[in-house]
Amino acid sequence: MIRLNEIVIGHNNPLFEVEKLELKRGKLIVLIGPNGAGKTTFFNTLLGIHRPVKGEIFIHDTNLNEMNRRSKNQLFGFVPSRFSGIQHLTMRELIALGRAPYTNMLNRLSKSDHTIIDDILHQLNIDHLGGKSTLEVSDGERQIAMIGKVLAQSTEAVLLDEPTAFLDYANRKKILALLKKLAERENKLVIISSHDIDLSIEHADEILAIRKTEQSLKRYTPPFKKDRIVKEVFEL
Amino acid sequence: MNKSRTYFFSMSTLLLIALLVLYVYDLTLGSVTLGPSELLNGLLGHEKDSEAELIVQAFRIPRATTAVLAGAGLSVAGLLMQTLFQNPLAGPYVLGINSGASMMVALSTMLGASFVGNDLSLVTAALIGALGAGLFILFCSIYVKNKISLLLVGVMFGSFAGALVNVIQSYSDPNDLKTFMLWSFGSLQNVAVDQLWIFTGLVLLGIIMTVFVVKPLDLLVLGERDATILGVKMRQVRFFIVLITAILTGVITAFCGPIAFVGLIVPNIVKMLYKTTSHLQLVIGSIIVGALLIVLCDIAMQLLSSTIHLPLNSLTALIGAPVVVWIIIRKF
Repeated sequence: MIRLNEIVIGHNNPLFEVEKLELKRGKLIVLIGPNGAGKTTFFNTLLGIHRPVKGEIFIHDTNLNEMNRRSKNQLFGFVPSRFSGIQHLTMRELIALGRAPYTNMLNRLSKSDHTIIDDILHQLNIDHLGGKSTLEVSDGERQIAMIGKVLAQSTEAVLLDEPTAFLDYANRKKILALLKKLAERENKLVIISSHDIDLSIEHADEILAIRKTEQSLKRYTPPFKKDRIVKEVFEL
Repeated sequence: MNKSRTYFFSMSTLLLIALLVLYVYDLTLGSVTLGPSELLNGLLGHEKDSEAELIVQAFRIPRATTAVLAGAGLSVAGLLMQTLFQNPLAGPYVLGINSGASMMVALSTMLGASFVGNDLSLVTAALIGALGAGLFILFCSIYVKNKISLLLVGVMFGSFAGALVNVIQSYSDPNDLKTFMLWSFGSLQNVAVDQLWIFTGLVLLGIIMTVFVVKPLDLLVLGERDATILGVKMRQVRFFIVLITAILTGVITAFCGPIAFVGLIVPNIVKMLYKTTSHLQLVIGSIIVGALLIVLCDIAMQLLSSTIHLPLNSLTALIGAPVVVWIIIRKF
């Protein structure tokens, strides 16, 4: 789906180079790397928020920079690491915001939009929380609703910036299992960034590691060897 | 979903009925108190050229209508600012947009730097001032990420503009100074019948323009990054919101003088009453509650007029400032 060829990622100054990389749908990919290596910049580049320092990114053989906003927001969904909830915004309304690219000027939901949202609530096992305010639920439940919002956007790829950073162990496992399921069943490309090596090894289909000193991106496929990854990426 | 729509309709109907009742009551108040039959007479004009008809048509309707429009317009402007800057304490007054308008009005009345004819020169001056201040605060918001700091920038801009106005005052002749001072107290009685159409037209234009930003505003509650990914063209939306705010604040400030805090407190009251993040509902709510608040202020001013003359700007500040402190205590 996404093809990168001899690209230098960075914003103003170069951070690292990607020699050759192809990302396919149906996979859960975990992006790891030390702080400041460029994980967020890599996401922003894929989202088209800023351009790579050198080279072009191709999505289904179309240059990302030449795509209009409409096709871009049907390609990528994004989940930030923390959403602290908004007063008077219910879980259902949060998920409904994901339908925005498809609604009319007044953001009015159609009957099929409502069906899609109901299905997502059901699929994520949060039917009972639909009417609850996003301020009243737990961090884990809120993060699940944020994933619901990107599902409502029905994009081909979903990027999640450290989606488990603020969650406890049980919720981390739950979210990663959910993302893996989504990648497989919905045939989506799911890319998350994470500092949690153990959970990543347990669930990922592929691990992409940014190596700070070498300014390069390395790809690991299973079976993952934790010692080797830690040594090569974090230089311990 | 349906439950919240029903709630919205019943709440709006209730508030609209209250507004209508208070509007009619406001029409009876003034230097001469009118009874129900006289008011009906004045409204429908059964007896041609009667005193009641003259009073109602030439003075009361313009005054009460100005109250409705000023309240509605400033509240919508406040709501737009609050969502754009994601700050419940934002509003045209605190962000210095009123001050920009005031400064240009001072220049125009006291230094005679008028742009076009008489009435229009005041409106044009206020519009330019409001738009200038709006763009300034928008520019600052790119660099000032902290919510409180941005408010301080607005307050600083306000005192800078205020100081400039003081300097201009010391150079101006006594007659111009008096005109300006009276204007700066804020009044709902400056809009004459023949000006009412321009005033109504411009305020309605500003309010109708908000239809185009309802959806971006809904998405902006999640933050600019999320809104962009969901298809909001942030650059255009930001400018358009500032333009609407400038039109509403500029026009209302030109005709009624600076009115403090209405744009800040009404959206907060509306969010409490309506319990929603849907901006279509919040805009409609702000129109009704804003109108209601200024009509209430006018009623208070008319009832008290025999004992004290309370300028509109002082009255809204007397109500507004404690409410702002209360919001700060609750939310920060």
